[in-house]
Amino acid sequence: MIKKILIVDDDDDIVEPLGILFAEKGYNVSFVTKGEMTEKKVKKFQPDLILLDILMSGTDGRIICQKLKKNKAYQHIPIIMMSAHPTVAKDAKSSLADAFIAKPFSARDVLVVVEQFIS
Amino acid sequence: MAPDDILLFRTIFEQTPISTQIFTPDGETVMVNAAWEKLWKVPFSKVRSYNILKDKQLVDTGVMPHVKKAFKGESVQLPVIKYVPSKTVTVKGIATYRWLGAKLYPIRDASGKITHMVLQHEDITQQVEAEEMKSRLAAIVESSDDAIVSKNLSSIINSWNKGAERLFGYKAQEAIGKHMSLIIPKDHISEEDEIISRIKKGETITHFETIRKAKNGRLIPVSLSISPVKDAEGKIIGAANIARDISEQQIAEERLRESESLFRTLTSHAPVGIFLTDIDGKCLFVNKTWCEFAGMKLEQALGDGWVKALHPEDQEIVFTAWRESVQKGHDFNLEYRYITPAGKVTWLSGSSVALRDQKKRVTGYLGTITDITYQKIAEEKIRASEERLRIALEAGKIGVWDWNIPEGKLTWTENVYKIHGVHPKHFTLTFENFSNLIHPDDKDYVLRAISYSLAGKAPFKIEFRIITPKGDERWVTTSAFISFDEKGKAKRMLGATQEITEQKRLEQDKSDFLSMASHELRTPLTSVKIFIDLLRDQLNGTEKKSSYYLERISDQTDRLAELTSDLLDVSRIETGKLKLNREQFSLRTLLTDTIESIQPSTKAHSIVLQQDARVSIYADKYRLSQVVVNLLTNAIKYSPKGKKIIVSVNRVNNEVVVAVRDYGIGIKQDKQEKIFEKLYQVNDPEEKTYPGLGLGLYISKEIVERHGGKIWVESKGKGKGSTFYFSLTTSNHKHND
Repeated sequence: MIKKILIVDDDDDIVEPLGILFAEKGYNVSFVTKGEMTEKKVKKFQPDLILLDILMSGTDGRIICQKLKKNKAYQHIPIIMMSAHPTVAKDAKSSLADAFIAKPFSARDVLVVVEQFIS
Repeated sequence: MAPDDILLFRTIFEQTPISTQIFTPDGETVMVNAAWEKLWKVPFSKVRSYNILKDKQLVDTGVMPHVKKAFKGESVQLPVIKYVPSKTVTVKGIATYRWLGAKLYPIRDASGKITHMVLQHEDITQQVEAEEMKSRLAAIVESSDDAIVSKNLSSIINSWNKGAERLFGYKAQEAIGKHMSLIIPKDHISEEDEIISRIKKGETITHFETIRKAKNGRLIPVSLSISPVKDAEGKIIGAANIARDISEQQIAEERLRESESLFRTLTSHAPVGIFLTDIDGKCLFVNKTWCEFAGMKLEQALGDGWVKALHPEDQEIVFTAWRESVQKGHDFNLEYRYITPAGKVTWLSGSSVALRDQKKRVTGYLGTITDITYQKIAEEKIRASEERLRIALEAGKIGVWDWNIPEGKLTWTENVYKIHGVHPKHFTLTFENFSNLIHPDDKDYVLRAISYSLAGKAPFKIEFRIITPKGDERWVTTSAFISFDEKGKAKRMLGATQEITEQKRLEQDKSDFLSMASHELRTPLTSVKIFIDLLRDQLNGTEKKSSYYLERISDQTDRLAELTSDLLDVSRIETGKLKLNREQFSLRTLLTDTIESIQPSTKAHSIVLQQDARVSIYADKYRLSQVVVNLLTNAIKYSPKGKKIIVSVNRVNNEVVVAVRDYGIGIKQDKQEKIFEKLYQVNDPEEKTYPGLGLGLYISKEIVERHGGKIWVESKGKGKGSTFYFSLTTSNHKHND
């Protein structure tokens, strides 16, 4: 069964390479560039893993993460938070994310983390 | 007995000058003679009833036993008595008592039976008194400190008292009978003839100062008083010499002369001008130095002459101050100028005191003037330099404050008030009121920094925010110099305060910019890195040239990523936003993981972890890893010929030291401190041999120091490799950042 990954980032320049990368690796990829649309998308797409940017214009990644993790329907979905600010790693933890990855990261870096949760 | 005989005896009895009284063997008075009546001044008729054996006065004086002894048949010499004649007969001008000598003897008949007792008195008052006087005089002469010597007109010594023995050293028996030349030095011998000739004329010589000679040859300065000695007929028979030793007096006089001469020397050579005036300020004396200041002679200064020495501009203040001190009885102290006729000006500090007599009345004034021209010049220089400093402080809007700690007194210059947005009229300056202006978030920090510095632990230089009464937030920087008393207690803080709000805003802007730029750079970098990986997968080792180019792109992208990260860190350090997220972890694990991640980047080097010290530390794992990465990448970079890189851990007490040793190019001694400075590589073109901004070690140093540790390097020099060390305490659990 093909695993589904949802990418949440307001920056197209991140969404595109990540989309290609996971598609290349055989995942079913979907994305959201507006944070507030996340929940709707999760409900529709039912991803196996979410890659979530922390500092987005509009809705903050930390709030989205907390919301999802408090929702019994979705709390089982692993969430990997990403940020260009390595210091917000602790915010990821307190927002109940499952992992954190600091930008910039390589394809290998992100695949290693993702494969810890789904393979 | 024949009647003629009786008449004869009766006449003798009556006429004898010896007071005679005849008693019966029972003590009854039989008769007295004229001499008796004269002595006792009592007529016979008054004593007819007198019985000697019943005389109470004789009992009281203790004479009675002798009387009774005589009545028993002995001839007795009665003790000398001091007899007080009856008051009724005492005549004014006559001694109220008489000294009497007496003999009491019996008269017997042919059978030996006592028929009468005879009492004969002799008035010996004159003898007794002369004797007493003589012994009194002798005692005076003997006990005198002066040498008292008497001599005849041939200068032969005939008496020599104890004082003379003491002064001249001759005993009385040695001196008596000798010529006075015994004690006269040869060169004074003629004096004696002179003295004798004057004595012969009846003259008295007083206070004749000369020299006499003692037995041991010592010459003694003496003051002589010599008076003639006359016999009973008033004929001069000799002289009495009184000699007083005046050597001590002479020493005292000598000393006085010396001190006077010393005073004169001091006065004329003193570097201060000295003047003496009468009660009206008329000059009586000035010394040499005064004359030099005034450019006039003593004679010119006398009276009112000295006034000409006063600088015309200062005359008024001198006279005013003088009058005031005279009126109020104060000492006079004033600084003023003298000017010589040649026009040379001397700044003087003048002071004078009133001279008073024994009744405390002012008799005149004694004063001094001291040359203070150099002080005045120095003061002028200080004033000028203070003025320059004031202008500089004003230009830099620097406020100066002074805190007297024991008195708790704080003073601010106008600028400090301005900086704090308060006005001296409406702001009571106390430490507490000042501390209330500090931004609540910074207050603890400021108070802690102050107490830390007052304890002598650190110099005082801090930056903090204040909130003015109007609500403006301002950044200020203040630094102070602290002085301590001999017990090491802080007594004064003297500081400078400057507003740095604008500077802080610029720093913040710069930091915000750096932070934003590096953040913005990371997104494209992430994108680039993923595309590189995708392309690498695509090429999958085919197209050798393209693969090689791709790897170069990949390396440079990594470097770009590092640089953006370093820039962000530097901006964090500078704005104090480099926060540590401490946790407890194994140092060994950290090192192993880091080495594992770095090792693949080099094929030429082999990184070895030596020693198996298991140390758990409480630190920021991410930041420490950053330090180790920096040290390892440097070790690789600066040992281009490869070889080993050894990482070791040493634990000493509660400190752990991590060492990274390479066998590369080494570092010259004089550069070993500098390499930890920010942008060192950029600032030192000589060292610009390897690429990089020179931020890595600066960041590492900051990270280690934030952890309370130290970082340093050891290298034996160029080509000998380097060892970088950093130390951390292992016991800093629950440390708050």
